[in-house]
Amino acid sequence: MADDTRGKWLVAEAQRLSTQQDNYAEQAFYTALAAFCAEQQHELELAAGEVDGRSWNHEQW
Amino acid sequence: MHTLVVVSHPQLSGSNTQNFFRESAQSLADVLWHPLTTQNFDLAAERQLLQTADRVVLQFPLYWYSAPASLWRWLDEVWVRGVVYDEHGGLLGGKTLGLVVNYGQSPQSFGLAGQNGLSVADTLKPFVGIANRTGMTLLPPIVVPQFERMTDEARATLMVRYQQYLTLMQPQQREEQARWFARQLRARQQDIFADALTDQEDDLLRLRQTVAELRAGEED
Repeated sequence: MADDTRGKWLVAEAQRLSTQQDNYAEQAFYTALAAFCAEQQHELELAAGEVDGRSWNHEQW
Repeated sequence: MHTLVVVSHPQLSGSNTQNFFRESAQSLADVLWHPLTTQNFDLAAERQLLQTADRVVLQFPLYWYSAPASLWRWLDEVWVRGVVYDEHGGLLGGKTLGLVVNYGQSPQSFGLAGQNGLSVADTLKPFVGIANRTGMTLLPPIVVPQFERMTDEARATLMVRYQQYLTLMQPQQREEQARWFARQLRARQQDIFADALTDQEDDLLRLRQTVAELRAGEED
Protein backbone atom coordinates (compact mmCIF):
# COMPACT_ATOMS: atom_id res chain seq x y z
CA MET A 1 0.00 0.00 0.00
CA ALA A 2 1.12 3.54 -0.73
CA ASP A 3 1.64 5.85 2.18
CA ASP A 4 -1.56 7.87 2.25
CA THR A 5 -0.40 10.56 4.73
CA ARG A 6 0.26 13.18 2.07
CA GLY A 7 -2.98 12.43 0.23
CA LYS A 8 -5.04 12.81 3.39
CA TRP A 9 -3.22 16.02 4.30
CA LEU A 10 -3.95 17.50 0.85
CA VAL A 11 -7.67 16.78 1.14
CA ALA A 12 -7.89 18.10 4.73
CA GLU A 13 -5.89 21.22 3.90
CA ALA A 14 -8.06 22.02 0.86
CA GLN A 15 -11.20 21.55 2.98
CA ARG A 16 -9.77 23.76 5.73
CA LEU A 17 -8.84 26.52 3.26
CA SER A 18 -12.29 26.30 1.65
CA THR A 19 -13.99 27.09 4.97
CA GLN A 20 -11.71 30.11 5.49
CA GLN A 21 -12.70 31.94 2.29
CA ASP A 22 -15.23 34.77 2.24
CA ASN A 23 -15.51 34.88 -1.52
CA TYR A 24 -17.63 32.26 -3.37
CA ALA A 25 -15.14 31.71 -6.20
CA GLU A 26 -12.31 31.03 -3.72
CA GLN A 27 -14.48 28.70 -1.63
CA ALA A 28 -15.47 26.84 -4.78
CA PHE A 29 -11.84 26.60 -5.91
CA TYR A 30 -10.73 24.92 -2.67
CA THR A 31 -13.83 22.69 -2.57
CA ALA A 32 -13.06 21.48 -6.10
CA LEU A 33 -9.40 21.07 -5.15
CA ALA A 34 -10.39 18.85 -2.19
CA ALA A 35 -12.45 16.68 -4.56
CA PHE A 36 -9.52 16.50 -7.00
CA CYS A 37 -7.08 15.50 -4.25
CA ALA A 38 -9.47 12.83 -2.95
CA GLU A 39 -9.76 11.39 -6.46
CA GLN A 40 -5.98 11.58 -6.91
CA GLN A 41 -5.47 9.64 -3.65
CA HIS A 42 -8.02 7.04 -4.77
CA GLU A 43 -6.18 6.60 -8.10
CA LEU A 44 -2.88 6.23 -6.21
CA GLU A 45 -4.36 3.50 -3.99
CA LEU A 46 -5.74 1.66 -7.03
CA ALA A 47 -2.39 1.83 -8.84
CA ALA A 48 -0.45 0.76 -5.71
CA GLY A 49 -2.88 -2.13 -5.22
CA GLU A 50 -2.37 -3.23 -8.81
CA VAL A 51 1.42 -3.10 -8.44
CA ASP A 52 1.16 -5.29 -5.31
CA GLY A 53 -1.23 -7.69 -7.00
CA ARG A 54 0.80 -8.11 -10.16
CA SER A 55 4.12 -8.37 -8.28
CA TRP A 56 2.67 -11.25 -6.21
CA ASN A 57 2.63 -13.63 -9.15
CA HIS A 58 2.84 -17.26 -8.01
CA GLU A 59 3.92 -18.39 -11.46
CA GLN A 60 7.16 -16.52 -10.92
CA TRP A 61 7.93 -18.17 -7.54
CA MET B 1 -4.57 30.07 -26.07
CA HIS B 2 -7.44 32.38 -27.00
CA THR B 3 -10.97 31.06 -26.37
CA LEU B 4 -14.20 32.38 -27.84
CA VAL B 5 -17.30 31.42 -25.83
CA VAL B 6 -20.42 31.73 -27.99
CA VAL B 7 -23.50 31.79 -25.77
CA SER B 8 -26.94 31.14 -27.21
CA HIS B 9 -29.92 31.44 -24.88
CA PRO B 10 -33.35 32.94 -25.59
CA GLN B 11 -33.55 34.60 -22.13
CA LEU B 12 -29.91 34.99 -21.28
CA SER B 13 -30.10 37.43 -18.37
CA GLY B 14 -32.62 35.24 -16.54
CA SER B 15 -30.59 32.05 -16.81
CA ASN B 16 -28.96 31.00 -13.54
CA THR B 17 -26.85 28.46 -15.40
CA GLN B 18 -25.45 31.02 -17.85
CA ASN B 19 -24.91 33.57 -15.08
CA PHE B 20 -22.96 30.93 -13.17
CA PHE B 21 -20.78 30.24 -16.23
CA ARG B 22 -20.27 33.93 -16.92
CA GLU B 23 -19.08 34.53 -13.36
CA SER B 24 -16.87 31.44 -13.54
CA ALA B 25 -15.18 32.80 -16.68
CA GLN B 26 -14.84 36.37 -15.43
CA SER B 27 -11.36 36.04 -13.95
CA LEU B 28 -9.89 34.21 -16.95
CA ALA B 29 -7.44 35.97 -19.23
CA ASP B 30 -7.76 35.41 -22.96
CA VAL B 31 -11.38 34.26 -22.84
CA LEU B 32 -13.96 36.26 -24.78
CA TRP B 33 -17.60 35.91 -23.66
CA HIS B 34 -19.74 36.39 -26.76
CA PRO B 35 -23.52 36.20 -26.23
CA LEU B 36 -25.66 36.05 -29.37
CA THR B 37 -28.11 38.79 -28.46
CA THR B 38 -28.42 40.63 -31.75
CA GLN B 39 -30.43 39.78 -34.85
CA ASN B 40 -28.00 41.56 -37.13
CA PHE B 41 -24.48 40.23 -37.12
CA ASP B 42 -21.52 42.21 -38.39
CA LEU B 43 -20.32 39.31 -40.48
CA ALA B 44 -16.77 40.56 -40.93
CA ALA B 45 -16.38 41.12 -37.18
CA GLU B 46 -17.89 37.71 -36.37
CA ARG B 47 -15.57 35.96 -38.81
CA GLN B 48 -12.63 37.83 -37.36
CA LEU B 49 -13.59 36.56 -33.88
CA LEU B 50 -13.78 33.04 -35.22
CA GLN B 51 -10.49 33.20 -37.07
CA THR B 52 -8.51 34.64 -34.15
CA ALA B 53 -9.78 32.03 -31.67
CA ASP B 54 -7.80 28.87 -30.91
CA ARG B 55 -10.83 27.33 -29.23
CA VAL B 56 -14.49 27.98 -29.94
CA VAL B 57 -16.93 26.93 -27.21
CA LEU B 58 -20.59 26.75 -28.18
CA GLN B 59 -22.71 27.09 -25.07
CA PHE B 60 -26.47 26.61 -24.95
CA PRO B 61 -29.45 24.90 -23.33
CA LEU B 62 -30.98 22.03 -25.30
CA TYR B 63 -34.07 23.23 -27.18
CA TRP B 64 -36.06 20.54 -28.91
CA TYR B 65 -33.04 18.23 -28.94
CA SER B 66 -30.82 20.84 -30.51
CA ALA B 67 -29.30 24.27 -29.98
CA PRO B 68 -31.59 27.35 -29.82
CA ALA B 69 -32.34 29.15 -33.09
CA SER B 70 -29.86 31.99 -32.44
CA LEU B 71 -26.92 29.59 -32.54
CA TRP B 72 -28.04 27.98 -35.80
CA ARG B 73 -28.60 31.40 -37.28
CA TRP B 74 -25.08 32.45 -36.31
CA LEU B 75 -23.65 29.24 -37.74
CA ASP B 76 -25.69 29.62 -40.94
CA GLU B 77 -24.47 33.16 -41.51
CA VAL B 78 -20.92 33.12 -40.18
CA TRP B 79 -19.74 29.56 -40.78
CA VAL B 80 -19.95 29.55 -44.55
CA ARG B 81 -17.99 28.16 -47.47
CA GLY B 82 -14.78 30.11 -47.95
CA VAL B 83 -14.62 30.94 -44.23
CA VAL B 84 -14.75 27.58 -42.46
CA TYR B 85 -14.28 25.16 -45.36
CA ASP B 86 -13.58 25.19 -49.07
CA GLU B 87 -13.15 22.65 -51.85
CA HIS B 88 -9.88 21.43 -50.28
CA GLY B 89 -11.38 20.79 -46.82
CA GLY B 90 -11.70 22.50 -43.46
CA LEU B 91 -10.22 25.96 -42.92
CA LEU B 92 -10.28 25.84 -39.10
CA GLY B 93 -7.56 23.18 -38.67
CA GLY B 94 -5.58 23.45 -35.44
CA LYS B 95 -8.57 24.86 -33.55
CA THR B 96 -10.65 22.96 -31.00
CA LEU B 97 -14.43 22.98 -30.71
CA GLY B 98 -16.01 22.72 -27.28
CA LEU B 99 -19.67 22.27 -26.29
CA VAL B 100 -21.21 23.30 -22.98
CA VAL B 101 -24.79 22.08 -22.90
CA ASN B 102 -27.39 22.11 -20.18
CA TYR B 103 -30.94 20.81 -19.90
CA GLY B 104 -33.72 20.72 -17.35
CA GLN B 105 -34.96 17.14 -17.57
CA SER B 106 -33.55 14.27 -15.54
CA PRO B 107 -30.44 12.49 -16.90
CA GLN B 108 -32.52 9.27 -16.95
CA SER B 109 -34.88 10.82 -19.51
CA PHE B 110 -31.98 10.77 -21.98
CA GLY B 111 -30.87 7.28 -20.95
CA LEU B 112 -31.57 3.96 -22.64
CA ALA B 113 -35.37 3.43 -22.42
CA GLY B 114 -35.73 7.02 -21.18
CA GLN B 115 -38.74 9.08 -22.22
CA ASN B 116 -36.83 11.06 -24.87
CA GLY B 117 -35.81 7.95 -26.78
CA LEU B 118 -32.38 9.36 -27.58
CA SER B 119 -29.24 10.36 -25.72
CA VAL B 120 -27.70 13.80 -25.28
CA ALA B 121 -24.80 12.54 -27.43
CA ASP B 122 -27.36 11.80 -30.18
CA THR B 123 -28.61 15.38 -30.05
CA LEU B 124 -25.05 16.70 -30.41
CA LYS B 125 -24.14 14.58 -33.46
CA PRO B 126 -24.40 17.54 -35.90
CA PHE B 127 -21.46 19.15 -34.10
CA VAL B 128 -19.35 16.10 -34.87
CA GLY B 129 -20.06 16.78 -38.53
CA ILE B 130 -19.33 20.48 -38.14
CA ALA B 131 -15.98 19.75 -36.45
CA ASN B 132 -15.03 17.22 -39.14
CA ARG B 133 -16.08 19.46 -42.01
CA THR B 134 -14.18 22.48 -40.71
CA GLY B 135 -11.06 20.59 -39.61
CA MET B 136 -11.57 21.30 -35.91
CA THR B 137 -10.92 18.84 -33.09
CA LEU B 138 -14.02 18.24 -31.00
CA LEU B 139 -13.51 18.21 -27.22
CA PRO B 140 -15.61 15.95 -25.00
CA PRO B 141 -18.57 18.19 -24.11
CA ILE B 142 -19.54 19.47 -20.69
CA VAL B 143 -23.14 18.39 -20.16
CA VAL B 144 -25.05 19.82 -17.21
CA PRO B 145 -28.44 18.35 -16.36
CA GLN B 146 -30.67 20.11 -13.83
CA PHE B 147 -28.31 22.85 -12.67
CA GLU B 148 -30.88 24.02 -10.11
CA ARG B 149 -30.70 20.67 -8.31
CA MET B 150 -26.90 20.50 -8.06
CA THR B 151 -25.23 20.45 -4.65
CA ASP B 152 -22.76 23.19 -3.65
CA GLU B 153 -19.89 20.74 -4.04
CA ALA B 154 -21.03 19.68 -7.52
CA ARG B 155 -21.28 23.34 -8.54
CA ALA B 156 -17.80 24.06 -7.21
CA THR B 157 -16.43 21.16 -9.24
CA LEU B 158 -18.36 22.37 -12.30
CA MET B 159 -16.92 25.87 -11.93
CA VAL B 160 -13.35 24.56 -11.96
CA ARG B 161 -14.05 22.06 -14.72
CA TYR B 162 -15.49 24.87 -16.82
CA GLN B 163 -12.49 27.15 -16.18
CA GLN B 164 -10.17 24.31 -17.22
CA TYR B 165 -12.34 23.65 -20.27
CA LEU B 166 -11.84 27.22 -21.45
CA THR B 167 -8.11 27.40 -20.78
CA LEU B 168 -6.36 24.00 -20.95
CA MET B 169 -5.16 22.38 -24.17
CA GLN B 170 -6.50 18.98 -23.06
CA PRO B 171 -8.90 19.77 -20.23
CA GLN B 172 -9.95 16.14 -19.81
CA GLN B 173 -6.40 15.04 -18.99
CA ARG B 174 -5.80 14.73 -15.24
CA GLU B 175 -2.06 15.54 -15.40
CA GLU B 176 -2.94 18.86 -17.00
CA GLN B 177 -5.62 19.42 -14.35
CA ALA B 178 -3.03 18.76 -11.61
CA ARG B 179 -0.64 21.30 -13.17
CA TRP B 180 -3.50 23.81 -13.40
CA PHE B 181 -4.30 23.40 -9.69
CA ALA B 182 -0.60 23.77 -8.82
CA ARG B 183 -0.37 27.01 -10.83
CA GLN B 184 -3.52 28.35 -9.18
CA LEU B 185 -2.13 27.51 -5.74
CA ARG B 186 1.17 29.27 -6.47
CA ALA B 187 -0.79 32.36 -7.60
CA ARG B 188 -2.38 32.27 -4.12
CA GLN B 189 1.02 31.92 -2.39
CA GLN B 190 0.19 28.32 -1.44
CA ASP B 191 3.57 26.98 -2.56
CA ILE B 192 3.82 24.16 -0.01
CA PHE B 193 0.42 22.88 -1.07
CA ALA B 194 1.37 23.18 -4.76
CA ASP B 195 4.60 21.21 -4.17
CA ALA B 196 2.79 18.44 -2.27
CA LEU B 197 0.13 18.20 -4.98
CA THR B 198 2.82 17.97 -7.67
CA ASP B 199 4.74 15.29 -5.70
CA GLN B 200 1.51 13.31 -5.32
CA GLU B 201 0.85 13.51 -9.06
CA ASP B 202 4.45 12.46 -9.83
CA ASP B 203 4.03 9.43 -7.53
CA LEU B 204 0.83 8.50 -9.34
CA LEU B 205 2.52 8.76 -12.76
CA ARG B 206 5.44 6.60 -11.55
CA LEU B 207 3.08 3.95 -10.17
CA ARG B 208 1.09 3.91 -13.40
CA GLN B 209 4.32 3.48 -15.33
CA THR B 210 5.21 0.50 -13.10
CA VAL B 211 1.72 -0.96 -13.67
CA ALA B 212 2.17 -0.58 -17.43
CA GLU B 213 5.57 -2.35 -17.28
CA LEU B 214 4.19 -5.18 -15.14
CA ARG B 215 1.27 -5.66 -17.54
CA ALA B 216 3.61 -5.68 -20.52
CA GLY B 217 5.88 -8.19 -18.70
CA GLU B 218 2.94 -10.56 -18.16
CA GLU B 219 2.08 -10.43 -21.85
CA ASP B 220 5.63 -11.44 -22.89
